[in-house]
Amino acid sequence: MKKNSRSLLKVIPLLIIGLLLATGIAYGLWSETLLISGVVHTGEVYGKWTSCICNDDGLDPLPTPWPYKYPIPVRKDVGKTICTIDSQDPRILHLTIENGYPSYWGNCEVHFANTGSVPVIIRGYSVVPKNFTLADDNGAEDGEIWVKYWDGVGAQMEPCPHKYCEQASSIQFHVEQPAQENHIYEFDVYVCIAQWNEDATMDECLAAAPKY
Amino acid sequence: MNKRLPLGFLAILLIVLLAGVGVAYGLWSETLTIDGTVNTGEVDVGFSGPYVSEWVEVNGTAQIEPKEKDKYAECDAWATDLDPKSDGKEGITIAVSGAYPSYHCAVKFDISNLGTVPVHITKPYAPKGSTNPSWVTVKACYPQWYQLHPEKSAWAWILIHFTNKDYENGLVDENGTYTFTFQVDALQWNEAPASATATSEETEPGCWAGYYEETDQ
Repeated sequence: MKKNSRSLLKVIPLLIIGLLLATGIAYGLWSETLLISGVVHTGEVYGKWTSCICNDDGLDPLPTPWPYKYPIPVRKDVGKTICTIDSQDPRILHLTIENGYPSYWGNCEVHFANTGSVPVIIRGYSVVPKNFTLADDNGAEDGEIWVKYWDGVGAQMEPCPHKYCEQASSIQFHVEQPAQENHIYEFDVYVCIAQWNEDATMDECLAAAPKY
Repeated sequence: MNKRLPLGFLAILLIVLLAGVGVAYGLWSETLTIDGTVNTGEVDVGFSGPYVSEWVEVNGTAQIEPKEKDKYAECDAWATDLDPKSDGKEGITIAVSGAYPSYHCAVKFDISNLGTVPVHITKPYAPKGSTNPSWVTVKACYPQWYQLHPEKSAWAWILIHFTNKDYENGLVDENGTYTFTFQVDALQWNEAPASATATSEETEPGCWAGYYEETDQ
């Protein structure tokens, strides 16, 4: 026991000297520190609908030029097309057709803008029927409704307020003969925009886009 | 019982004492003096530059930012004087705004020895406790603990670049703010770890390879 105490007494002073030396070296060293500090603010890809104007001004619109052999009928006020931008989320546009009937047709001019901070390219669009079969063409009877989006795919849009920050497109629809009476047909049209510098297909664009 | 000192002894003692004093005053002598002044040196390092380069990958191919796209993502960097008592600038501040995937900003700078003592410098490193994004990286064109002589410089880069993969992995988001910090330590050469290639000026030939070398307007 005594032997151990003696050994410890010999070690402690050495340890103290060692620690003091180490401290002395650390604090006494001539040195300087340089500092690099940075902040990165990332941008945003964001687009929103800015307007929608449809050609049903009361009297049901007729295709122009008239594509059929029979005479142009007298226009009646039967169907109604309502187009609104969602008040909560301006990325969503609601198109509602009321009292539609076979061959009721409409065309809506829609505008959207790049309101983010990154230039974008329109990657594509997709018409997705929710509860019906989409007709292949205007007048085709292989589906209940024909919906066509006139696109601008590939167009590049600078962030607003740049003069090329907006895009005009149109949505046309036609109620086909197979459509049922007193039925509600629902569909979505997606237009996908993505950052200008990355190649992306419509599917890739949709897969990466936030869901809402 | 009192004994008297003999007169003869007193006389001899007096003569010896006087002789001793006479020797001390009469000795031929000279004094040598050493006056010294020590002027200490200085460990002082600072940044030069920085120089900003911006470019963008378009569908995977690097190119200069098109003029009309330039303003949407900006990168700026400047040197700051963190220690007004010493020479040079001890800090660099980097500010990036509007960054998006595959936008690149590289900030090139040099570390100069402005003092009188050779130093060994570290590569820029993230100090303990910092939360630097993984997509902010460093490239130093010198080895760790590089020996930097007075009036010499060594180059390094900070590169800011994230990808869509980083976004998918949650490392970056839109409208985000990310901060980072790097540090360079310079220690007097004789009290710092030595570098294996400490005396080499050309430590990493081709160090700049892989960087898009267009300096921002």
